[in-house]
Amino acid sequence: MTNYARSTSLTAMVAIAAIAVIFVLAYRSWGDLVPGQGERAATPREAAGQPGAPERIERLSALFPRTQTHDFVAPIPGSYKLPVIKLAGDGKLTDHTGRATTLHEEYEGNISLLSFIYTSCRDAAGCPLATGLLFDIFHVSNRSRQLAANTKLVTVSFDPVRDDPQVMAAYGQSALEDEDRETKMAWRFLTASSRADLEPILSSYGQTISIATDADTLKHVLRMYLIDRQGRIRNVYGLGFLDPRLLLADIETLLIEEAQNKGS
Amino acid sequence: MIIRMLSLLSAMTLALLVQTVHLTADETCQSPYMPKITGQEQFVYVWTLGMEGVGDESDKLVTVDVRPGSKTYGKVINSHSVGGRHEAHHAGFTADRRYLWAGGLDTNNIYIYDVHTDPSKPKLEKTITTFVADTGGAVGPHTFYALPGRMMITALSNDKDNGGRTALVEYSNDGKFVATHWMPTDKDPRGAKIDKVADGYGYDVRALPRKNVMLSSSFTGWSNYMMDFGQMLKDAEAMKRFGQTVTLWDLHTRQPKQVFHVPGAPLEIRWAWGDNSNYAFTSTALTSKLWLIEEDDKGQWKASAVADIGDPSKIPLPVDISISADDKTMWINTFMEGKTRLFDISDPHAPKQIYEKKIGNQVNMVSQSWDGGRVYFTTSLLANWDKKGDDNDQFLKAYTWDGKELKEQFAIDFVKEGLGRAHLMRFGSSELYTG
Repeated sequence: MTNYARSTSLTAMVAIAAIAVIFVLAYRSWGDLVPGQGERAATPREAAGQPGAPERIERLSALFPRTQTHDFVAPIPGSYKLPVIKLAGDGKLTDHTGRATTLHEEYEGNISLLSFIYTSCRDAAGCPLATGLLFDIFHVSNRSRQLAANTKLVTVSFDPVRDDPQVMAAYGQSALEDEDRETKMAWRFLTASSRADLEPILSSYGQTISIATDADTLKHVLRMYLIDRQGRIRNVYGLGFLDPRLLLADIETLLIEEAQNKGS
Repeated sequence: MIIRMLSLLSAMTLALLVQTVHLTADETCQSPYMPKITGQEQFVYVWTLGMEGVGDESDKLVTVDVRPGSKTYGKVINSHSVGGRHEAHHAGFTADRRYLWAGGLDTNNIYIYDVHTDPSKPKLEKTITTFVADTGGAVGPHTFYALPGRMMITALSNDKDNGGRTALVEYSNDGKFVATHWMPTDKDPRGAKIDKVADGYGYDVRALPRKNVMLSSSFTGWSNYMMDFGQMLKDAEAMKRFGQTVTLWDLHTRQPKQVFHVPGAPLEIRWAWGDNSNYAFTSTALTSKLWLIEEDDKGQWKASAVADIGDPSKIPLPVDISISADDKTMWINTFMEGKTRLFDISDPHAPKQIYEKKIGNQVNMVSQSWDGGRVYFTTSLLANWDKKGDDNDQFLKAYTWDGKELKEQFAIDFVKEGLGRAHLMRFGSSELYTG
């Protein structure tokens, strides 16, 4: 018998008890995460195109706390290298409006964070975790015009049977209809038209899935991918690495690398 | 505003829930990133050295059926020869556990087996033959440690002087070179704090993601591990060329942070699994001590010897170690004695031996099931270091452990079966790949 996770009642109790603490902390810190009024004169892409556009916060990773499960000081962006792992694969997809697109089209001109999910996933340690993490990053992204202007979140379903464009639109509704979305990084919600279209994409990223015995559950290993503007995978994240501080530090490291390359 | 706040709250809560849950489960010595066999293993894969005069004399991956009740329980059900002898040594799964990477310390070949299509019959999918050129001179691919999307490999040597100066190396899961991270040395500490000496040697690597740290240990280079053991013991210069360090790395940035002085060739590294346990063990082959590497209350990392293994003056040569899933006990094999010992490590600062048993004339590797109820042993250390003549046992032995006694279930004589020298073991199960 195999198992991906071992849950304990103690863990659940600790987590529930922690909710109250987190709620207070989240409420207290929320004021720091919301941009001030009158600071949305230009979209981030517009602002980033303006010479000398000021950076309001150098390290967005500093907005997130050190936690018991990520109990370390986050690395300083630009203090380390992210080697190229491989070229990011391409494939035909459809966005939440039903418009045809491809992964490479989505990546073009952006640093991208790619996450594979399925919307009916009930594993708290699976897709909800990945999407929750992207929400974290999405919501703070308007604190840095450079980040918001140059980074795109890409969520792709690996359940084309149930996750049609309408379902993806509903799944991403709070981001797609966010009243401040123009000042935040772009977030795309994509799905495939068929398993035949999806398979080569999953294969190229090494994202494996299998259908569980209950037929509603897709067994999968949680993965997220950082893709640079040249369409190359620069990091792959799994549990343990899914810390917003690490993801943001990596994005900022790529932005610093780009600036250095332009200057050299 | 409320919706956004709740989404943030939800994400933070999920993160707390999830990571607490997932990082506690594993077979006892595997990467925390891969799916786990927490019940009955079905197969034991044995990466086996070819042996002159035995079978086809080539290195091979041997599959043994360990399914209780199976007609072939305790039997070899598959053997795939890679052709030639490469000093087969260690192997490790990718993080999705669909492929097993197995290395040769002499020729530097790496064999990548598909173990998911038919777990009872691993299929060789790819061979990497460019390790030295890819890495800029690293030699001797040893530990294969799974990270998401890639494999972290320790090397043991280099192509300049065949000594112990070496590197950590990363390949993508599809077998493409990614990066080389040379071990810190006195001349090039690469930002690391050096306690006494930085020899630049390598052996094992293991990570503790919760603390964003990774540890590497240190053995010896090609010139020693390919030398006859008896000859090496008489060579005073050769005996100076053993590792004496454990290096602490930043896991995410791959930057060395601290080099501890751990004399006597520290080998396998095992992190404790507890949610709040910030410590690891390693054993030193030449000085026969168990070392504890831990983070103290002030957040500082340190290394200290916490127990003797057998009688160090007799050089029993501790080799493989295996920590239990509850962090309470640890199996420690001593090659020269052919013994395994069980230590109570519930107080990591004061481990105590509570059991010992002779397994054979020589013993190297030990692997236990997640529940600790089954324990497997193999014999080979290195082709030129294994004992000679009748003392050269080569077997896989399976035992049950009831908390008091190891009881043998089956033994496979790898010489009589025409296989070779039995080395590293990994568990397989078809249930990893089905619903």
